[in-house]
Amino acid sequence: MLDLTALFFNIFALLADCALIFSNVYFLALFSDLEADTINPIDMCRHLNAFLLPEIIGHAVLSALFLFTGRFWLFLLNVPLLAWHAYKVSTKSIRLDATQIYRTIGKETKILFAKLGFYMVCFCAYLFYLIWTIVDE
Amino acid sequence: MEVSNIRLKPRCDYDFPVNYQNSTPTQGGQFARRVYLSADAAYNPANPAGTAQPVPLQRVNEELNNLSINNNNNAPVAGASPFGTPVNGVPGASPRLTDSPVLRPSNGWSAPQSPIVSQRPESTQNSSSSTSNHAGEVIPLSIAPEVQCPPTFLRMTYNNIPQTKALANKSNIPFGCIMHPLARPQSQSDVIPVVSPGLCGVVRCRRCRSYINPFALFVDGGRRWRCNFCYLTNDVPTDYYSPLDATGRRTDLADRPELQRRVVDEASPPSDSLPEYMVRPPQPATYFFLIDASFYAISSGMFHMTIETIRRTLDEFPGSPRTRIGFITFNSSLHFYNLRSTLSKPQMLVVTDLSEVFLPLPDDLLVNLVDSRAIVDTLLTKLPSMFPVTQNVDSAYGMALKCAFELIKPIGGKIISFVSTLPSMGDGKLPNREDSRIVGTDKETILFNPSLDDKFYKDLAMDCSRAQISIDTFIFSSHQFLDVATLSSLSQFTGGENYFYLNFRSDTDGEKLFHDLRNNILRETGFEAVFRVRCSKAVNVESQYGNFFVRSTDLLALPNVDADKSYAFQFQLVDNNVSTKYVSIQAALLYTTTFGERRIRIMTQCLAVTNSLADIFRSSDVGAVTTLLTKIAVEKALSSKLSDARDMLVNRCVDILTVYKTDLASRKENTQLLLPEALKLLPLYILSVTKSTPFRLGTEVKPDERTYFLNLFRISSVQNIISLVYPTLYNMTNLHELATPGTEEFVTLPNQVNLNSEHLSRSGMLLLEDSQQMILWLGRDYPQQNMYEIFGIPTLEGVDLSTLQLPQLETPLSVKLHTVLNAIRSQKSVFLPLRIVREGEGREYLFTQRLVEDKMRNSTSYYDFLVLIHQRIQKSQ
Ligand SMILES: [Zn+2]
Repeated sequence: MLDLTALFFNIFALLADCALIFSNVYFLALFSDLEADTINPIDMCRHLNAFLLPEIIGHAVLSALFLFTGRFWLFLLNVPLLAWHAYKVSTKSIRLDATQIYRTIGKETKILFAKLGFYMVCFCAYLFYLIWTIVDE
Repeated sequence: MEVSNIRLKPRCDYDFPVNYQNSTPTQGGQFARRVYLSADAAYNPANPAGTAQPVPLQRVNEELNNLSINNNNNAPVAGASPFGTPVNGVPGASPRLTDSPVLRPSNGWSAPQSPIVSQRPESTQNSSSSTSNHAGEVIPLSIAPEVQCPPTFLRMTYNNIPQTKALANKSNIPFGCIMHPLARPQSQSDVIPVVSPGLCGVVRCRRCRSYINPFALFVDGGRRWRCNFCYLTNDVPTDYYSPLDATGRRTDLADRPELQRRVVDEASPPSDSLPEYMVRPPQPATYFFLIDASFYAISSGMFHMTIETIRRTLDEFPGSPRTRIGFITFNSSLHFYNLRSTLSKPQMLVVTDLSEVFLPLPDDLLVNLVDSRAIVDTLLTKLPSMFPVTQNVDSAYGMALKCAFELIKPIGGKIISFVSTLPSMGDGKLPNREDSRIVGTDKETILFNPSLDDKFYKDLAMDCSRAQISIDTFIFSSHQFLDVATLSSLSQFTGGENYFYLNFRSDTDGEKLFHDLRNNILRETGFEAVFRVRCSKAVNVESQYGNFFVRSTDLLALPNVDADKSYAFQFQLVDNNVSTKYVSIQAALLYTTTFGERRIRIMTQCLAVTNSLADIFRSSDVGAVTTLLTKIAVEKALSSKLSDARDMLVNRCVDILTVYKTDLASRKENTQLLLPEALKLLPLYILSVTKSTPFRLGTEVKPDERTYFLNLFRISSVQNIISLVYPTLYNMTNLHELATPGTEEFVTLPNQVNLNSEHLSRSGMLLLEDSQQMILWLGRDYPQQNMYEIFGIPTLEGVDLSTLQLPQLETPLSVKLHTVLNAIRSQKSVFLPLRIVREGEGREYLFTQRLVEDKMRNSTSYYDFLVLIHQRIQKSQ
């Protein structure tokens, strides 16, 4: 019989990952606006900083859920990003600094692309997991 | 030998015509009011070397034999100009201009009279004829501008553009410039003409928006002009049209300063093109004072001195009759002052509940100075008595800032704040981060950077930058940590400035505060400014150094800009191979003058592209190279650690000299230390930087003091940095022999000597000046008679020198000493307080630690440093 809870959880994980992907795409769009001088760095950083902590919390909650529902492989998959976020929190460097933004723009865009790629991989993994759950029944 | 060597002139910040010795004091217009002659020139013209160049190195050379300094004799660069200056006079330029000091950007910097400087044979002085190629020589695209870019405003690290990236990297010399847009004029040629716009407005390139300049080429009979940045051919506006003469010059050239001078001020065009240069009508000059009234502020006398200074300056505030002014004082509560002109006396409004501060009567807290002049005066007269000695040790500085920000937000302007206590209440409260365990270690860096927990000050700085508000902070420390780093982030990003007084006492430091504050208010200031540097396509700006906020990729937002701020830029080549013959660099500062006129200061430099390493070395400017390296080192110290910054400086120096030796030295087998002519002072300056207050090894310099100096280095001009790291030392032992100042115009300065202890004699007197202060050193056995003439007492034994003021006496020696001190002070923009130290006395270290050529506890002597560099060069080959 189909385990409805598991199914819904998997779909939830997939949607949550989509949200993370979209937020990263949005961040990248903000960066390209900045490079095109269509947005002021102060506004851009205020905008972005409002989303950065929720993103980290969201990701941490999702990973915790994997751990508590016994999906150890999915949890392990998320460990690298968790570690990166933990590093950012511990060094108090989550927020982007408008005064330094032009110096760090290259580095930050690279990080965002890497994270985007990571979320994409996660998306495939969750999708596979979802299909596997369905097929397995 | 004719006295013609500029090095004999004591370092002098005013560049007078080189042939000053022959000129009568009245020549040369207003700038000849004061002419400073070297002592030798004044009373012993027959002996140009009379400044007694001590040549310790030559002495050592004899001992070591394998170490010698490359003088011109084995200089591989043929035809190097006598002062290491690349920029030869344009052929055909009038001889007057060739003689002009501005043609030699670096000559002011030969003054330190390092031991490695030796006299050059006269033959090499005639450099223009021996230069074989055009590189280094600036040939304009259309006309030969009569004057070179005055070094006062713009100094390149080298006056060439490397053709390839490989060449640029190979030299190891940083490729950049230091700009000082509102520098005080230092000679007649520095007086900037103001161009009033015609009906067509300011002429700019259609595509790259660069401004018309002397290097633009007029073609098509004068109907079109070719931009020297993007090479677009633009139409000349009809109002700007002028026919060309037979040589292709515009016939109206003489009336067009913007086509002749590299630095001009364009007054902004009338209102029809308003949106391009201003988003609102020019703002009035606005000053808002935030004054700490807590225990230390009152007891140290800072509060009273500040109020008194403002009161005495009221009549001179710039921008009259539109000037606006306001005051807030603060300790644990905030005090506002209603200054409405119709009141009979000022009203004080006290806000003690900091949880919800509202602004009472916003219109009457910031008032027009002319209308409320009487009432402001009453307030300032009464204020000191309203704050008797208090036990209040709290400070609500953050809240005060926030209120001041809200008050002047609609106008913009300047907030000048005075802080003597760590903010301890309400928003902007700062913890004491100082941890004695990390002072002196690599971890100390976190104290030089703003607190990571702080959001308040950085966010406020952003808000201020957007509202065109600049914040200047005067910080008074009583040996207690004040978190200068976090407080100064306000100034850093709003184009402001910090002042730091360690252990302030109004009897000894009051005079300096008085002059600093007056200078801050009275110096030339531009409001609501933006600064942009444009380059030819081949080059772009890699990084910027200074106090500003980068608003978009190449636009620096400067809510305020003034005569004491300079900005450094590092360039990089975009193309791997520059195809053009010349590269232009143009800096434009758009600002509002204090009297409410919108102006654009345009500085244009055009440099020849070269593929020769020799040209780059020959055209380097050691002052600019040192300054740019210092500014890079400041960033390094903040982002990494102090030891990395010191290592970087030394490594760069070694790299530069290694390349010179391997690629340019004529005799490869030469085992001597070879120094390029133009950069011969580089090792000395680099060593001096590593020994300077912010970079010095050890724990004597407090974190706050280091932070202040790091910030100061970030904004300082080339002159100030060189003076800070390698102060001028005058030998005053024979002061009584100094020629009596005959007229007002002539002041004879004593001999300058090198910064080492060889000149310290037990009966001597020396004066050290570093653009921040002067230190008078007296030998233990300084003659009693002289002592009596200067101080009015026969001995200083048992006198507390830290509070001793130099008396003004009628004796010849005292008069001479004061004349010399005043002459030195008059050359500087900031007031130089005088400290007196005696040989063997506890505070002598203030003086001896500045003798950078000596071996000190934690550092090497200049000679050992050269040996070290020499060994490293040998090793790397
Ligand atoms: Zn153009």
